[in-house]
Amino acid sequence: MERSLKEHIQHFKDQRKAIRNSQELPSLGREAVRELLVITDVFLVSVFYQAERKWQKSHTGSLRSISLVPIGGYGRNELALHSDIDLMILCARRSDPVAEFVSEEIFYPLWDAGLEIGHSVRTITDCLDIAEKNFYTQTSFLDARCLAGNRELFKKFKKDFAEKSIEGQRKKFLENILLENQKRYQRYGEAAFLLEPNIKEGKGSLRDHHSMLWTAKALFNLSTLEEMVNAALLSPNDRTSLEQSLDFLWQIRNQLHILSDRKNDQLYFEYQEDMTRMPGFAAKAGFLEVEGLMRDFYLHASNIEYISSLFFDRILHTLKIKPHAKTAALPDRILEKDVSIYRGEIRIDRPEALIKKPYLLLKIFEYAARYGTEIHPRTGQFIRDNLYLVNDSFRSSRQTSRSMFNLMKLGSSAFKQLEVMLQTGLLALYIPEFENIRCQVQHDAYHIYTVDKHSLLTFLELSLTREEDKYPFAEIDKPEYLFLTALLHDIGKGIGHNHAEKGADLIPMIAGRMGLKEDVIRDMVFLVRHHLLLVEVATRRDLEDEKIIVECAQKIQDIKRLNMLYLLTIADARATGPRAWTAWKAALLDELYLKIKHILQQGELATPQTTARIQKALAQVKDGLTLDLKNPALLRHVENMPGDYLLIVKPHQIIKHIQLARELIDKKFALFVEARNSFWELTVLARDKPGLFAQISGVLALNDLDVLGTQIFTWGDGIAVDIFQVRELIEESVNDLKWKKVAEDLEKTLSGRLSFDHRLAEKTTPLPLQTKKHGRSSKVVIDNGISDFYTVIEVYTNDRPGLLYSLAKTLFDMGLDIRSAKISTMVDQVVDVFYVRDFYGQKIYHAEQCEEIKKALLFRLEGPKNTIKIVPFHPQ
Amino acid sequence: MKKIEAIIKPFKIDEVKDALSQIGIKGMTVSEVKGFGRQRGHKEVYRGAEYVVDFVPKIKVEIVVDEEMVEEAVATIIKNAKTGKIGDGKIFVYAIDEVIRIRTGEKGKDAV
Repeated sequence: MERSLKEHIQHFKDQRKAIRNSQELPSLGREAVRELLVITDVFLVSVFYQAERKWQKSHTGSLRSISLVPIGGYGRNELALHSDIDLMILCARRSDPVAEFVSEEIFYPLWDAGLEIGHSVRTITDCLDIAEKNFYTQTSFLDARCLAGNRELFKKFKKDFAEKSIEGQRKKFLENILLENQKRYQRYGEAAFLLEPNIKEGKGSLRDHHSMLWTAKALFNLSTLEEMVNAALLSPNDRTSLEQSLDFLWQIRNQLHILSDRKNDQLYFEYQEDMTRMPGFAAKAGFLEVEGLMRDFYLHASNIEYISSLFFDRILHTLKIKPHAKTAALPDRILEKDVSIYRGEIRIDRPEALIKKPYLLLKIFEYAARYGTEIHPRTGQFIRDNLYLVNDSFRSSRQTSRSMFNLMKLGSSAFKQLEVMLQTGLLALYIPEFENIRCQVQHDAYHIYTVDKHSLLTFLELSLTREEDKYPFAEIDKPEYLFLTALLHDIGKGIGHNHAEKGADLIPMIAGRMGLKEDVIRDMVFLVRHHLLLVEVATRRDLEDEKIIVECAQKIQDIKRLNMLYLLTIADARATGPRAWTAWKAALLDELYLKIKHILQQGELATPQTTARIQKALAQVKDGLTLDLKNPALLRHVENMPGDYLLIVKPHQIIKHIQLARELIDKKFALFVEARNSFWELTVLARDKPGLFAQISGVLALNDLDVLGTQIFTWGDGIAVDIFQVRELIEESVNDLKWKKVAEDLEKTLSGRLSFDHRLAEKTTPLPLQTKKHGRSSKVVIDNGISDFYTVIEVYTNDRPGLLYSLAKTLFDMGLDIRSAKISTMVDQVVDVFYVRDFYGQKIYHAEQCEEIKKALLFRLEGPKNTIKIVPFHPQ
Repeated sequence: MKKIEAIIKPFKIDEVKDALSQIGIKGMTVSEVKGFGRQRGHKEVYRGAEYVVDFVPKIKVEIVVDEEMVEEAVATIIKNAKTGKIGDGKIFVYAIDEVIRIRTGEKGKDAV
């Protein structure tokens, strides 16, 4: 019994559903494509015959005045589950009633049934016209075949099309293909498509395969990969490997059609994840499933891209078309025995040369980079055939290392060659550690390139910083090692968490094999281990916090390394993707770089020696803490101690301070006094607040204590530790009563019950200092260049009672917070240095304000100006 | 409904984001911005070369919340973005006329 059209459609739909449902991932490739093709052909032919019978009921003759022509993908025998089924009705003349009938009887019902069928009605002349106008239509006609109807008409179409559009225009066709490929690569090379690749159109996609097919057909009338192999346009190995990769892409494509339930060829994030949950998906140990899947995808895509590029290279050489006008200018010459430049390309004359001199495998690339040209495809094939020569002795040969370093030195002109080395597999054979990062994916929106690609791009971006003459590239000593580090900085990815550490662990082996010296290896290890340091600190930490900058400086330790790290950081970020590098981030990074550099230049806190001393002091303090002091709150104090404090104050004193800090729980301050040889040392701990230093100085002045020196520190958690060396102004024996009075006064002033100015004024100046009234005039210097975090005020003046109080009070009145102070007394000359910020934590940038501070201090020291300047003249 | 727009220091964004999601704010828009307020830009002199910071890098956080959430959200931002130093930033609160979720067409409260 004959099926009705409706039944045909239903049957076809059921068959498609069956393919959809029964298949597991591995059989969704070629197998499914073939099956789909068969059922579609059978279905359409049946529908066509049925329509013909219907026609014959009311007309004489058959439907054979037209032909039913699959074009495009369907013509090429390639159908995915939701691909458009492109059909053309080819007719002998316009407005053929048969064509109209076929449209009505076949296409309308199919569309109504929701099938994705493309439809056009054309005469041969129409076809030729449109092929001339649109290159992609031309290619879709190359794929055309005749499914049913008039075969003679179809033959005539093929013949006319070949004569008009192909013959005599083969070069033009090739140019068009190459141009379209280039446009396509550009369009699908954009960030969005790198993360969510298009399986049909992207780089290394099905379209690359189609381009090969079209070209082989148009230029040499070859229709299959097999025929291309026979014509030596493709090596047998490449054909096998291309077919495997295509099969993988078809699996993904069909699956994508299933998941999105429509024709969709872009592998969006959501589908990437869904795909790993499909039956038949084999997860790989140690990888995020989706990253494993996408790694496979990119490995296959880059394989397709590479084989298609080899194919087009061969075609260009066969046709003697030189795509690079520039290289043609290179004169032929012999570079060394067996290696020459021939017609602008680097060539090995015979493959045996490689066996005798394996180092040529790498040296060839060095030559190509140096002369800015390419390697001849045949030589490329020699290299690929002889990759087995890359063994341990090749990897540790000095000759190979030299070629590698020379390549590194060449920067951007070496980039292209590195890409080829990566594609041929040479790079991952020479540096086996590279294999782990080949096509390694990070499943996020931030890293848009696979890790190997990103590594090469980092190398390129670093070269560009050199070409831009970006500061401080000129100061880099041996840039080749920095370039090598750029290539290897992410080598630890693909082997689990914390890739910077893991990568740093791999460096000694890699660099050691290449024969690099110890100090170079140390730098490389450092750079790889810390390649995220600057970016992380710049974007996530408070750059106004000196401690953070000092810690960075301590890690980095010298300016040479800082410069390298800075440039590597920029190159790495630029090579990550458009979101990773913005002017905004650059501003933060520059600020951090300059601040660290400044600290390293001053060299006080960040030399290797001081860093070691700070670490040692910290360890001693922790070891020395008695059990009762080892509570979390007190340990937090230890963690927050600034470097200068740990350097200057002895560990046993620090422990004493920690003990004192306990008293702050229920007291405003803690006081500790110790007798030294000729003076007393007073230590005051209190919660830091503006004016604290002035208040303590005031108490000392009030109690006739002369300050010889002071060190003031602020722990990171806001506890001030002020240490004063003092002596009695009036020689008398100091006793406990005196310190009790000091403690009482401290208590009073911190509770706001003591004012100094009037009390100090009431005091008569003790005798010893009255005699030393006349000294040099005072000087105040304000410097913003010494520190990135504080304005430094230096005061040179004559010593006098209460001097420190006066200065501290003046600074407080001016709205300044004293972070640290150094007082030194030389007989009666005093140099007091204050590190200050305003109460908002900013340096004093405004010149006007600096001038005002200067005037205020000088007034305090010298009194009104005219009393000094205007000296009455008394002639004898 | 109100839109809260906060300009904060870059290194504070993680704390602010976490704190906001803890009080149940489900979405936010974050952008990298540059500007200056009272803090102003400043000049640093570095080895003779002036390094001018005209615009200071900041982060802009935008959230839209229901009327009764405004106070809590603002307090949360202040608590987590504050360092006490100059340049901590500012918060602006705007009235919102309407919110529409594109996918479903839901409006008002449901769309936030």
